[in-house]
Amino acid sequence: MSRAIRLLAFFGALAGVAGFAGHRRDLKADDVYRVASIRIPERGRRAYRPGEVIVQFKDAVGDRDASDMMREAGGRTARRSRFGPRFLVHLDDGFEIADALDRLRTMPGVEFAEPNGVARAFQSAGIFTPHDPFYTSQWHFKMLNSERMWGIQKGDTSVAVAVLDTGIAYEDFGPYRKAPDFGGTVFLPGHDFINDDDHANDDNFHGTHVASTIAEATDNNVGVAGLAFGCALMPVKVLDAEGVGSFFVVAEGIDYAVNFTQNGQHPVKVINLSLGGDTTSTSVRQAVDRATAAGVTVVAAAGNDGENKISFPAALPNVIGVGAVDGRKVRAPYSNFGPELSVVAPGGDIRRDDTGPDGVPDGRPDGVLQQTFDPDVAEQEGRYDEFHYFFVVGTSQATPHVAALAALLYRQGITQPAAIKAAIENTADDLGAPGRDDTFGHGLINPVTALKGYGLNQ
Amino acid sequence: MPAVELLLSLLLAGALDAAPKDKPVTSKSKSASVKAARAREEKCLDGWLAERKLDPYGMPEGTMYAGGTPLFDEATGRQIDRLEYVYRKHPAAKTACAPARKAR
Repeated sequence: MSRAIRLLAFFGALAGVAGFAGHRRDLKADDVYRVASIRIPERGRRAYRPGEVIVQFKDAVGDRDASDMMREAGGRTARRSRFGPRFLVHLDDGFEIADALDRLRTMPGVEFAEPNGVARAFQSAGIFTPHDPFYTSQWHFKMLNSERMWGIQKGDTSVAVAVLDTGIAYEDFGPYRKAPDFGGTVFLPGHDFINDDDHANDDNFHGTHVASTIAEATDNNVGVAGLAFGCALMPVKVLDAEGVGSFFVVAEGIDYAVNFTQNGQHPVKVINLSLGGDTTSTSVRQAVDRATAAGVTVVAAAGNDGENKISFPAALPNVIGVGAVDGRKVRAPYSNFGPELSVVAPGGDIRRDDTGPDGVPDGRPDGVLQQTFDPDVAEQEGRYDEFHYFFVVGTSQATPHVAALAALLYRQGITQPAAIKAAIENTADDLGAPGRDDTFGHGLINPVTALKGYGLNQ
Repeated sequence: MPAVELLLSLLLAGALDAAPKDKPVTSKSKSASVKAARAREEKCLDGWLAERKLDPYGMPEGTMYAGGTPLFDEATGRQIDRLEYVYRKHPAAKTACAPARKAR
């Protein structure tokens, strides 16, 4: 992959959402976007009130001693609770909350100290709106009615999705860093089949972006959301730094994910394959069949040739083959089509701008927005710690939307891959010619209908 | 001078008359010949790759790619021409299959 293409950092030194929302830029048809990025960290809605901490003292501590301790920790004024030795402390200018908490927590008379969190009204019934500042730019989630979907099901760690890709930025190890917006995401032990070790770190950018769509930490006041954010992820590296792998390692990766056990359980229920090739393979087909027999659903990308052919293994009957639509629900120009296509999901078109937070074009390319590291910095400087939010397009990006839905359906109680596939296909919104067609398969996935119609909420 | 003008106008009229009939035919046949040449080149390349047990992108058979193809850059949305891609990897394939350029 050429690294010479320029990086377009939309919001380079941006610190806040207000600036982000206000930034507009014209798109041109011939613009070349290596990636368009939004830098982190940003905080949209604050989790904590600035300059305030709560401290509770032990009963034996008198108010005078408490006052001295609070002043020593940077307190300017304090308000005492009517129900015990608990104080809301307003810090002096220049004192950081973290520093004040550190000081208070080392004092022997302190029971506990914590930041003063912001309380918000409960969500509307049946709706879950995450507090992630760039969620409003994730048009691809809104297209799937994600907030109503989360009102039904968010997933949990009893269901894991194995991402067979270039790895995931899931741990601090050697030159690799865990992506900041994976803070609360649970990762199962994975494997690197390229280098044959247990550290399936990403050295390309692709796998981290794909995994983020599935289970980015969500409602954490950082960055963006993931569709099945309650579910666990398993990083399995089967593609190298150039995004290239082989039948053998893909088959190995599938078998690894299927055979993995934890506490006597097989947590991996879904395998995401945002990859493919032009030729077929008996070893991969048999690995897919073994996965299906073990109750694991395999989801794969239809391919990015824009041709009437579905890539392998997406074309296999036991696989959910996924094509891509843009922000208008039109087949993306790169998306393959054909008789084996199962469904479509948002994959975007980097040259178009049809979407925005208020349903109007926002001056940004319609890619799938997720977190990953800057591949140019990785290649040029050997650093894997420059994380941003990137707009990326492709059937690779459409596929994890479907893998996430499959994971949520497992959490709803469906256990068989054939039933998962049927639920996804039968509830898809028909696009194009009436009924199933080769351009859109069964149509655009409809998570709300699928989750309402099957399993726990039936 | 009037004779020259008459001759010129007759020539121009002839050219204009001929233009609507001939130009599309020429353009169509040129386009068809370009397509045929491309098809021949693709066929030659596919044979060259098959002989060496390489996939359509010039990699060993059994290679898998992020997104299913190395010809689409998901970060830029750019498509790469297959012939150019393979020729960059295998200059010998270009020698074998690309039409020779006319010497100037």
